[in-house]
Amino acid sequence: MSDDRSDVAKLILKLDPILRHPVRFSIITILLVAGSKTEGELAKSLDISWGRLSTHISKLIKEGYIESRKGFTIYGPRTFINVTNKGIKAYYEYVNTLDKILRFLKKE
Amino acid sequence: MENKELYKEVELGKIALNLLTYKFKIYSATSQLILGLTSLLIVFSIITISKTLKNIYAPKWIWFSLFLLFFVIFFSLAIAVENIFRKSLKSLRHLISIGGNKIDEKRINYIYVFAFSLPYITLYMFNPLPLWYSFAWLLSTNIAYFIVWFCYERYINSLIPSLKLRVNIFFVSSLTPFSILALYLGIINNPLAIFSAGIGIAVATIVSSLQEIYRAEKEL
Repeated sequence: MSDDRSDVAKLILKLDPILRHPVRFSIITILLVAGSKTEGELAKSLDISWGRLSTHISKLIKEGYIESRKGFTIYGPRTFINVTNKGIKAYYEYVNTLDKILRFLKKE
Repeated sequence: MENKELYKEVELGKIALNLLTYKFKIYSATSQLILGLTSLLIVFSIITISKTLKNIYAPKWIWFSLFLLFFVIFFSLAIAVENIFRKSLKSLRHLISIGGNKIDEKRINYIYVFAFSLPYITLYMFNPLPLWYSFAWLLSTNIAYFIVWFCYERYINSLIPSLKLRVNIFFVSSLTPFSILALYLGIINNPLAIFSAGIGIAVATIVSSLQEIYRAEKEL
């Protein structure tokens, strides 16, 4: 049992701190499912202010989980946000690790 | 964060990851259905037109324009399908990147070019039976999809083991009995060979597409 506990502790430490924030987790989820989105669309989907969104976006960009690209639409220039391969891999590992932890907690 | 919220987060994450597989499967099934039925329509139109206009005088440019029109329709549809499912194709790259692999797009392009040219060219070089030209396209399609399954589908499945794409193998296995039947009817010079070829491709297209859609829905 103590071995199990230490395994779970290791898993908890393995959890990506960047994705542990619900807003950042949601940003990657939206980009993964719906593809490229503008900053405006993301703010609207998450119902958060531009300021808060840009803080999280810069953290994700710094980590290399997402990338931004300037583009032109019929409404004018927009910044498009895309998830990167590194971001998808991190997301996949995060979900799997969290799943393992929760399964252990359920057993307990 | 409470446990309940964490459970919801995991559930959401799993749904998001499953959606990537789902989107690619739906793309594969839909493109198979649209392009399969369009090819069937084109082949039947060509056969009907050549039979009807056989004894009627028609300038060569009419024939050329008809063939051109069919190809334009087919390729426009293919481009439309690719554009509509742009995001699904991206989801395939995402899925592959999870395993740390990279898709060899050049290899896939070569497979498709090879599969959809060589069998047709080879089988249409000969004319061993009176009805050969009317049903040889079915045999070529069967071989083409066998190559696609052997070289493409297995390759994609090896890159993403969770995907389990089966649309091409279902197509090949549903089409093979009709190919044998068409070949047999062709050997005994029965015009039903053409009909059997048409029915075969329609059945194989519908069965393989619906089967893939059903499997995708079940996994979601």
